[in-house]
Parts: sequence; structure tokens; C-alpha cells
Amino acid sequence: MDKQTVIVGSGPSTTRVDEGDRVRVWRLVWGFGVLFVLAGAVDLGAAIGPLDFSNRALRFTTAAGLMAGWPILALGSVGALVGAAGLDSRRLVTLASVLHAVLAATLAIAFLFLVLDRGAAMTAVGPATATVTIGFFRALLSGVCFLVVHVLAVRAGVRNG
Amino acid sequence: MVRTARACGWAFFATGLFGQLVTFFPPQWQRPEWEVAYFGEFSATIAALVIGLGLLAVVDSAERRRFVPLLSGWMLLVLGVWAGVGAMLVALDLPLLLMAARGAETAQQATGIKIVGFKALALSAVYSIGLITLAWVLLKPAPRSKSTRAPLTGLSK
Repeated sequence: MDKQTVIVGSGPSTTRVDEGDRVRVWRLVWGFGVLFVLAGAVDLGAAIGPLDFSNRALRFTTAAGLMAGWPILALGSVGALVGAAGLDSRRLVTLASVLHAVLAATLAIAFLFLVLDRGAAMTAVGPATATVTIGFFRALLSGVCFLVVHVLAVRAGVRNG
Repeated sequence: MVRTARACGWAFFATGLFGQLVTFFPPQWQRPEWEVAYFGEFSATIAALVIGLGLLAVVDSAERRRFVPLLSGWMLLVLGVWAGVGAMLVALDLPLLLMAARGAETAQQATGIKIVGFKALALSAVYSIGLITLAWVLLKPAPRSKSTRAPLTGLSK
């Protein structure tokens, strides 16, 4: 028979897939996730540095920059968690869940700075307050979305790990 | 689901590749400012291309197709080596960059120049190591042991 047939059922002689292929697929997902976590971390480090917590206007800019540069990091951390779960590795799932918890905590702190230091940023820019308002709402929206992603990921990690 | 993921992969791949070509041309080798700016931009925008290649490689590996994962593996290898070349060139240009930072008009400008250089170097190095490792995972033959578990259980066409 030329054509490959896939039989779906619960009998002993159903579809047979290489274990090596399965492991390779999940290892790839995990690997891409880790790569994006590292790249996202470098990107964010460059975007927010050098930190100056004494300047409230700069603290606002740092928080807004942090949330704007979050997508790659979030994509990577989700990939790492999914890959770890696919690899059936308890240790990697725990590690990825802890990473999500740390990221959620960082976002929550940035969120606080964003809300508390908005006034200082408005005063610092003078007449261009519209820029701060747009930046505030954009950062707020992306912050909320990614916070939800990380909280859900922590919950999924706890259930799987 | 698999078709959507594959279409998404091709979309990311095409837009990422186009973006990289637009960034590269016209090349101006032996101009340190162009080299740093190009590899900084290359490493900052390579994510779209890598997401595309990754999606295509994962989906087609799960479906046990060989051609696209192999092609993705070779492309990731080329990109990884290219990022390594970039990291090396940026590292060689760093002394010039630091000299430019010392001659900057303001302290903020000097910090900006340093950040651009170090970000290009760090990102190129991270992508180089990561992409070469992933290419190796894709290109090496998988160990042959049999199991009844499907690679991406739950995904259907």
C-alpha cells in the first residue's frame, strides 16, 4: 500500500509515532522559548538602563518602556512553559512557572510606578502632555494584557507541575 | 489549527525576510557606524523571521515532514553564523564607539551611544548561540524509539 494510513482508536496497533520526533518537537518549542526570553531580557535591559529610581519622571518612562518591550519576553516565557510541559519535565515546568511569577511581579511593580508617577511625568514634559497620556494608556493596556498572560501561565504551571 | 499555524509561520517568515533584506541593502562595509547600526537593527528585528522559521519547523516536525524542518534548520544555522559574525564585528568596533561616546556633546548622548553598541553586541551573541543550538537540534537525526504518543496531541487540521 502506497498511501500511509492513520488509524485512530484505542487498540494496541494504532498510530505509531517516533518518541524521538515527539521529544524533538517539544525541545524545539522550549528552545525557541528560552531564546526569546534571553533576547527579550537583553532588549529590556538596554531599553530601561541606566535605572534612576530617584527621578520620578524617569521612573515613569522606564515603566512605560518596560511594558512596550514586553511581547518578545512574554512569547518566550510562554514557549518555555509549553515546551517544558510537553517534555513532561517537572523541573522545567517549575522553573518556567517561577519565571512567569517573577515577570508578573515585575509587571505589577512597573504598573504601580506608571500610575503613581504619571503626574511627575506630565509636569516634566510641559505642554506635550498628550504624549504622556497616550504612552500611559498604551503601557496600561499592554501591562494588563501581559499580566493576565503571566497569571494564567503561573496557574497552568502549578496545575501541570 | 495546524494550517493556521503554518500560514502564520509563512507570514512571519516572509515579512521577517523582507524586513531583513530592506535593512541590509545597500551594504556599507568598513564604515563602523553602519556595521553597528546594521547589526543592531538585524538583532532587534530578527525575532519575526525566527518566529516564522520556528513555527514552520515545529508544525512540520510534528507532522513528520522532513523538507521544511531541514530548510528551517539550515536557515537558522546561516542566521546564527551571521549573528556571530555581527557580534564579532561589533566587538571590534566597540573601541571606536567608546571613543565616539567620550566625544559626545551631552552625557545622555554618550549613554545612548554606549547602550546601542552593547545592545547590538549582546543581542547578536545571544541569537548566535541560540540559533546555532536550535539548528543543531533540527538538523541532527532523531533517536529511533517507538511510542504511540502523537507529537502535538490535541492539534487537528
